[in-house]
Order: sequence, then C-alpha cells, then structure tokens
Amino acid sequence: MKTLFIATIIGDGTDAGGDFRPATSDYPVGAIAEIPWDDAANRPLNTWTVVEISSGDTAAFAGDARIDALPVCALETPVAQIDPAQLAGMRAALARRGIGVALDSEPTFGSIVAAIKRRAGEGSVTPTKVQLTL
Amino acid sequence: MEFLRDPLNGTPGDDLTAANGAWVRQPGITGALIIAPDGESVCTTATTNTAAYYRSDAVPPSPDYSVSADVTILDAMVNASAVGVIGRASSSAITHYQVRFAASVTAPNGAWQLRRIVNNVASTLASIAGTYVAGQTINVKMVMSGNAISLYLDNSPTPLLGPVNGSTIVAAGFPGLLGSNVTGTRVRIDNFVADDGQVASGADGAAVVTGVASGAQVGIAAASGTAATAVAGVAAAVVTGSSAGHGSAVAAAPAISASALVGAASAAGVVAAMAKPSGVAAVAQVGVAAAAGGSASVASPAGVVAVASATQPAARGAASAAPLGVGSAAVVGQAGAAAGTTVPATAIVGVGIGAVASVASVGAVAGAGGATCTPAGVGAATSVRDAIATGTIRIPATAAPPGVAAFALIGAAVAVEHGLFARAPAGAGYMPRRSEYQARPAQGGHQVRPGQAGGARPAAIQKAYR
Repeated sequence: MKTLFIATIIGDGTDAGGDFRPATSDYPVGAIAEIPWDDAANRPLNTWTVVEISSGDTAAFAGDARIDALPVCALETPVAQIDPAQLAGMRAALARRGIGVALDSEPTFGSIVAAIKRRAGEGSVTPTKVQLTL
Repeated sequence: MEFLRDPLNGTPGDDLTAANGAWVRQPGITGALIIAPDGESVCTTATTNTAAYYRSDAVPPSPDYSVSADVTILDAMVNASAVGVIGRASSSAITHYQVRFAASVTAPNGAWQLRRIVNNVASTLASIAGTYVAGQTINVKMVMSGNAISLYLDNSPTPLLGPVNGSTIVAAGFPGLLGSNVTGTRVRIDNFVADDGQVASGADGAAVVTGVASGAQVGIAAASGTAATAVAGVAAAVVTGSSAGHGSAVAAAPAISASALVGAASAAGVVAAMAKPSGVAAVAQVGVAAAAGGSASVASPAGVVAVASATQPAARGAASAAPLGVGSAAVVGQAGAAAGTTVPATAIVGVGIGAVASVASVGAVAGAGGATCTPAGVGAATSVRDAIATGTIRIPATAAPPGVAAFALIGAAVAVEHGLFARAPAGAGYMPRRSEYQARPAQGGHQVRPGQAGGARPAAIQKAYR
C-alpha cells in the first residue's frame, strides 16, 4: 500500500543544495515525487507535488504544515469507504492548497490520486519536452 | 551493448579531459575531475562546493541507455559533497539526469538521490537515506528507459530509486560523471560504462551442432555471413543459441522441462533469423530476432507446451530474447562483437550448466570481432531427458530484408512427452524427422469389426513427419 502525501516544493533550484524538492526531503525517508516542469519559466509548474514515501518514519511529518497526509488505504478503495477523518483531512488540504478535485465525484481513492496528479501537471504553461542541442 | 567503457586511467593529477579527449565538461562547469593518485580512477579536486559534471562524447544510439561506475568513498565526505553518474547530458547547457550519493552533515550519513538538472536548475525527483562504508566500492547505475529513470546499486535487479518521470529531458544526450565538493582523494570513480542494454546479432551464418546425444543444444551465431560453430557431445542439455553481429546478443532460454531452445539473432539494419533444425528428435528450437531501430519480438515456438511466448523490447539494432512465463527461465548465451566486425567460426566455449546432471555446454562464438558467448544463470536449466538428437542439428540463420521490424520464427515446436522437437518449416531441404510406412494389407486378409460396414481393402500408409 502506498503512503502518499502532498508536499510543498521547497528550494530555489540552485545546484549547490537548493534543489527543488518536496518538503519531505528534510526528513530521512525514501521518497519519490514527480515535479512537473514549466519549461518557459524553468521552474516547477506548481508549488506542491504528490510524494510517495517508500521507507522511513513518517510520524515526524506530523505538525509540518508543508506536508499533508493522504488517506492510508488501497488505491481501489471506494471513496465511501475511506476513513472519514482522513477523507476530511484530504479535503481540507486540497482546499487550502487550491487543488480543485471533486472528491465526491471520484469513485475510488486511486482515481482521486490520479486527479490530483493531473492537477499537478497542469500549470499556466503546458509542459513541453526539453530538446537538447547535441 | 556497451557503447562506452572507460577504466578512467591516466596520469595522476591530469584533468579527465586531458587524460581522455573524449571527455568534456558541461558548459559553465568549473569543478574538476582528475586522475586519482592511483592512476586508475578519477577523483575530484578540492574545489569547494563546485559541481564537476563531465560528459563523454560517445553518442548513445537512443535515449534509452544506462550509465554506471564504481564509486568508492575512502574517507569521510563533507556535507553536501556528492558523487555519481549522469545521463542524457546536453552539450550546450547544464542539463541532464543524475544519480548520486550526497553526504549530509554527519558522516557517514547521506542520501541517494535521483536528480534532474535543466539549464542549471536542479530538482530532486527521488531520494532515500543512505550511508556509506569507507573503502567500500559500490556500483552506481542510472537506467534511462523512455520516461522512466531509475537508480540501481550493485547490479541489483530492483531499483533503489525510481522509476521517476523522465519526460522532461528526452534527447539521448551523452553519458557522464559527476563529483561535487569531494575533497581530493576521498572518493574514487572507476570503470565507467554506458550501455544501451540491447543486443544485436548477426545473420547469414550457420550454426551446426553435431553429435548430440540425448540432449539439445545450441544455436550459435553468425555474423556477416561467416561464423559457424559446432558443439559436440552435449548430453542432456537445455540451451540456447545466440549470435553476434553489431554488438552483443542475449538469448534467454527457458528452462523448459525437457526441452531445448533457441536461436536469437538480429543485427543493425538486419532483422530476422531463421532456424531450422533437421534430423532432430525431441528437440525444440526457436528462432528469435529483432529489428534495428525498433522493437523486437521474441516468439516462442508455437505449440510448445509450457513455454509462453514473449515479447521483448529491444531498441535500435538490438535483439533480446527472454521468454516469459517460464517457471525457471535462465539467461543463456551472450555474445558481443564490435560493430562492423566479422565473427569467424572459431572458438566454442563450453559452459557448465548447473543442475544438469550430465553437464551441458553452450556454444559460444569468439572471434576477431570480439564476440563472445557467455551463458549465465543457467542453473535452473533442466535436462532434456528424453530429447534424442540423432545425427546433426543444423541451425542456419539467414537474414530477412533490412527494415523489417519483426522477428522470424521458424519451426513449430511440439511437445512429445518429456521432450520437444521442432517441426521443420515448409520447403525443401529438410529431412523428415520420422517416416512411417504401413504396407497395404493383402486382399481379403483384413478383418471387419462387428457392426462395421465395409470390408474394403485399406490403402498403404506412408507419412513423413517434419
């Protein structure tokens, strides 16, 4: 079961220690996050990202306002069966971050996560590929 | 297929670009990688907190390739120092993907990271806490496959990190190395390898296996219409053939219970292989091939019991055969030759196959082109118990017209109790595997069963099984 969080992207992109990265990087955990890119601005499209934590103790995230926990349940879990408190927490986090996902119209937790990730990839500028000059 | 291997040797103190002109810094990079005091690896200079990103001028055949190096941390790394490899590196900007170990404040702690640098703006896409052991060498590999970027350590089959989304940088770029803020001799980077992970094999050749006794064995390679190999005296083996043309070939043979297998072939611009066993009893054989610049398919023999067909991605001039769904598949046969070289019919390297009581061998081609065949992981192979090869197995390979992105599969295999045999393709030139002839009964000498009409005299029966 995936442990998912929405985390603020921190850093300024400078190579020497200023990487754009999810706030979870401040903790000794294993984390994978997509950071959709705005090519024109050469910076992340959004100020937040979805993070999958693969290892480490996430208890330390508690109280860190930059990190919001998503419900801990299987992706195929119907929305109606998600723990009400966790669902409410997710609803509040999405609202606070301005992430417009209609939770009640999604059938499962997985579809909610997919919708959030889609929103993460939607910015003012459509992501394009970086074509290198060789 | 490796397209770059550099032991990173040179005169101690020389910049890597001086030691090997194939290396250049990414634009704007001031940090340096120099030949280490041992003369057999590189290290960084003591430049404070300055990244050293070096790329090779070796052009990958596609954006899908791996970059690896052996990294040894000899002494405590200072905070924010890092060492690793890079890929898809631009020649005109500080743009690339990289995997690295980055030290934290307290040695030996730190983190493995998978990063993206776009026009000198860095993002950490994945990270996991880690530690290092002074003096311990770790093989660090970044695998780039389409939009999937992953970090592997010490040839683990599973990634430590990733895959992460690598859709931002899609051009092949170049492979390279990185070091950052690592004081002088505290790290070593050695044995740099860039590999497109693909295989290629030859055509227009033939493999001949003779004298096989109760076993199956071995398709072997041919490059540029030359190579031919022979293996004799194989007993109870399950095996594989592979071939080499431009680069290497890998053929995965399924450890099919009581069966044998496999020819693999393909070369850049050339696609197909044909394999036609003949005069073989209870031996299965399959031809496999891949296309240049596209994907390859592996076809398992039709009708082979307990063998699942597989499709295997292979890019650009590569072939790879890895039958799936086989309970205990083993990788077998590996060959490599420098592009454009010819692999003559020369050496054969017998390789023991574990778990095969009677021992088996695998043919290998080794020639001027450097092709080798090094079967590995055959431990799970099972013997071809009932496979009986009578006479000679001939496995000629021929090339289909270039540009045909497909595979050739010749020979439908059929299960025969514990064994398999290959049905020869249609066409002339193949001896019947078995012939049956039943003389026509004499007139009036046959019996008519009760209730059965007739009484006509049956015809003679003659069948030739291919």
